[in-house]
Amino acid sequence: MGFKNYANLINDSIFWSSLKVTLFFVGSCLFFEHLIGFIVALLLSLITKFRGSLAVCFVVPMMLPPITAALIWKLMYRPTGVLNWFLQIVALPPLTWVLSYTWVIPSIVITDVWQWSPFVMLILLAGINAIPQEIFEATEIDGGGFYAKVRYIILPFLIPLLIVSFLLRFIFIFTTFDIITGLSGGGPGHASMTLYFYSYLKSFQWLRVGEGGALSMVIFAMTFGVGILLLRKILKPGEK
Amino acid sequence: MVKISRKATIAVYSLILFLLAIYWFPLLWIFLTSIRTRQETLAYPPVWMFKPTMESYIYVLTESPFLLALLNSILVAGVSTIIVMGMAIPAGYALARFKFPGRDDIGFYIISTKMAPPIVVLFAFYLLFFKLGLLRTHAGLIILHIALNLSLATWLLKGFFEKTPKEIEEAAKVDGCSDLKVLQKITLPLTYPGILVTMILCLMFSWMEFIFASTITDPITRTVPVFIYSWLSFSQIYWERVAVAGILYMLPMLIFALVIRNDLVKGMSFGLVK
Repeated sequence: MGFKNYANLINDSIFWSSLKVTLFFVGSCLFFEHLIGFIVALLLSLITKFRGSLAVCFVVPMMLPPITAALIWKLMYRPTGVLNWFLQIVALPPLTWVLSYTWVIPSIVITDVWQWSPFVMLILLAGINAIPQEIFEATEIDGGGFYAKVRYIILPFLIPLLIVSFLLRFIFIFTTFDIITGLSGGGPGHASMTLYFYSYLKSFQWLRVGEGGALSMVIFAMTFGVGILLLRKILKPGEK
Repeated sequence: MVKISRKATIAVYSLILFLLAIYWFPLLWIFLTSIRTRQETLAYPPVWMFKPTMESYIYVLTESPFLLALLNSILVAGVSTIIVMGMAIPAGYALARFKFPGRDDIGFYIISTKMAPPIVVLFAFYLLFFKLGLLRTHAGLIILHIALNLSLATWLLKGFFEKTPKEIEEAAKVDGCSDLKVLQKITLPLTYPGILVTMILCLMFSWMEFIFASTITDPITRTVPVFIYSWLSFSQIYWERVAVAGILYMLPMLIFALVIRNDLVKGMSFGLVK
């Protein structure tokens, strides 16, 4: 009883390493998904013909169940897989991808970004589409170029949507489970063990429910904290 | 949208196609894997010229319980989405339009439950379902998927409803419409891109959900993602079956997304942009 489970966590080296892994994983996924999502949304907003169809073409990876996406990337990440074949063609040394301590997290990040940057793209594209045409025309009269339009019109306009996609993606990335299960299972060693995955293993595989519960409360505190912080920014002042 | 010159347009199109080619490479790989034999899948360097085989498709469709799992997925995703929409539309509408004490607090509370990672509630639900006899049932999984999607759906719909002009609704009320009639005849038709987007998101999240389904279902009630996972064993992974099942499972969602593509591009702004 009491806080023994929490005390055990503090002395648990896997907890600290998985905290580091989680922060790195969540940070890089969020960054790259938004960067790539924004670039693709901007490109799509520049064209008129086939915009909807091309947008759906980008969204196809999102329609795959993450477990399939993970397994198909695992196939490509094999030491004798197609990605190493590409590396060989451009005369780079082959990588061991998900089997290596250093590359396992970047590999998972690549898969997650591939699957979920289209989600961010859709949100941002909808936002850019909603910007009234007159504002762009007014900027043109004032002599604003392409860069000025992106920097001073599109970006400020997208801030509420960026916060929402940040919030949704943050929660989903933090609780990534199937992609890690499919690609690495937390290994090699504990190199790709995130807090969430660790807590699942504790509660449901090793049946150390007390410790798993303590861990999931820590996760809850983290997502809740960040979530409330972001939510306050988008809700109107009167609302909280 | 930003207007660009003809030359720039061509550049933008080629850039988009180039990015699309990168995005589609893994998809191409899934497709190739699904029509290759095991030896060809594992060969190095990769075999590009080969005789396509439909063997894996035939195996997955006739010999494996894929169709049973697909039915489970359709049942769970369909029923949970219908219930979620049925509850979230009135809830979102009430939060957007009616004035009652504590309205903003309730709205805030509803979306804040989305911050709880599934695993926090999973164990509690597991014990509860054990007592209620809901483990290994469709009903249990449907309840979990409703819990998963309801708060987000309510919150998204609230945003869409707030965006529709109040004046039209008020005019209808002056003409003698009840609140329910207004919602049905005026608000829903006006916000339908938003409703479609909310619906496809709920469908998708339920369609792909893995952690709940893998914990509480058995081989009879499991959904397709859990079923696909069963092809991953210690000794080997049945790559070509995984690929076939993934492709077949993706198709309904893809067709749905293609049909509503224009509303998808409109509705994903979540009613947040003025």
